[in-house]
Amino acid sequence: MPTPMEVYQLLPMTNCKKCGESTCMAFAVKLIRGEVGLEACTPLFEEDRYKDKLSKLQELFETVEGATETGLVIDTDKCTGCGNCVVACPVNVANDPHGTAVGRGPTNDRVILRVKDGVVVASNVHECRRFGKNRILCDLCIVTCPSGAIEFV
Amino acid sequence: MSTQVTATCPGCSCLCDDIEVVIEESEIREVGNACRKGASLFLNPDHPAYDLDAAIDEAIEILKNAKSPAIFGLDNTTIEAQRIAIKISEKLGCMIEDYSSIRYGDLLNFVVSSRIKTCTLDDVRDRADISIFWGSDAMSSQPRHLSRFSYFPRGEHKQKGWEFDRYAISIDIYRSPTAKVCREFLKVSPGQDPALMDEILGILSGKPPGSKELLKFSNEIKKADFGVIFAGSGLIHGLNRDMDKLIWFMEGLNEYGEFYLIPMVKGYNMRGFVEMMKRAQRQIEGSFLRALLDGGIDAALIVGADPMSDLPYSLSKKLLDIQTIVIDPRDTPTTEIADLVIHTGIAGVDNGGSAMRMDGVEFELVPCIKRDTPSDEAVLTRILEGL
Repeated sequence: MPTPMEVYQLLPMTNCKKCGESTCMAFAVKLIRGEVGLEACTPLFEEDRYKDKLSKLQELFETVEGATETGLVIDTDKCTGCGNCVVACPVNVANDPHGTAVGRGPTNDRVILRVKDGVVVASNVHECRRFGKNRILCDLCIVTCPSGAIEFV
Repeated sequence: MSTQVTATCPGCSCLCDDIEVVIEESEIREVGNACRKGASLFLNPDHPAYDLDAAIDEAIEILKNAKSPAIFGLDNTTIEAQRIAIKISEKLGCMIEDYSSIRYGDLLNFVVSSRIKTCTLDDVRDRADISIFWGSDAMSSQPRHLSRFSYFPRGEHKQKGWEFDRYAISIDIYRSPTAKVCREFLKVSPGQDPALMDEILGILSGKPPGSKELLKFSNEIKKADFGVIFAGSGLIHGLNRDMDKLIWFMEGLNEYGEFYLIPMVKGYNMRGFVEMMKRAQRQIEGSFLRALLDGGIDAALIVGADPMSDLPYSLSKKLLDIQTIVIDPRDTPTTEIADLVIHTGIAGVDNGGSAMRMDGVEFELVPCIKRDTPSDEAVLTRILEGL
């Protein structure tokens, strides 16, 4: 994932405030968090001199496409569907004590991770501990994955 | 209109019984909870059309004309089919063998006859403090093993979760996917497993440890009330098939707590075959591989196995010299070279039956979809009748 400074250097750096933010740096931070889209920076698209910067930015953010609101990305090519993340996820355990908590398949729809057609899929990501005001850097789904299929961007 | 059924997966010896299958217009559309290995069995039907009656007649003809036939495989078929196969071997007076002795030596016989203490996977989930994966890569062979039983789930007496309640260690010759998720990894040089066992029991009895990792592992053994060794074929090869050493090690561990062993068998019903042979009071006589190498057999009935992929080329090429009948749901390298292929349905998907999990617990495999593919049991029964 790019740093705010890397993104800032690819923005117009004019602090024009057209995006609604007070500075281009503030816009870069929100862009990385996924809170705003690149299209909010209108000069990038309207002015020819920013053409190269725009294509570099688009390339940069191509990797995070498909990420959920929490930045969770599942590489379905790598995932083996072992379900370690499903059982280890603390939210799954709390929301489904008689299903995923004891190693079985989910018994309700309140779980974040479940295995479908042999690979893990995410739902209800707003319940993830990395989301919301009191978010923490929980990484239990990452450390329990044997194939490195789960990432947060 | 779609319907949802709960099925048991015949993908590996975990026999996961919580698979949710969505069926629409007599086709499986979605499979929930199964790993990639299991889901592929449900989602990819492969049933080429052929003349079943003619194939069975030809199989009977080949077996009747053979001077010294043999039956091989049987780890990936139902208990019912295994029983019939044993009867066929009695009728023909021929050799019958699966992979259990090739991969695990006498281990399964020792476990089945209780010479080595064993427990069920449900006991492991509810009570195990320490899971030792020795020479076994569960994450690749039995993908849901750790998440369903041995490491991650909460159990009756294990309510705090895997971070606090359990300790898992992988002992192997390389850092396998299982080693990546286990708490510790202990690397052992090939063939040095007996020396490692000596060292572990030595540390437990007060000798100075050779490394920090070994000291930590020994301390965990001392702390544990209930421990399980999941023995893979790597352990058996590492011990050079010396079962006395393994029994001695298990007895040593049991002085410090309750320690059990579960063989991590490969085929979904290998444990079932060993049990069926015991119940039929039969023992594996001779060796299929030795007979194949020495030219001691002229025809082989191979059920639910792929020796062309599993055996070294020096052995598998000998299959080309004999007549082979392969009964298998899928096209495999062995079906490619076979003289006769009989495609059957997959137990638990197209056909019913029962199978035994790696810990000896029997499960019923209920078909989740109606297809007119014959089962292994039906084909073998007709062959037996024809003989």
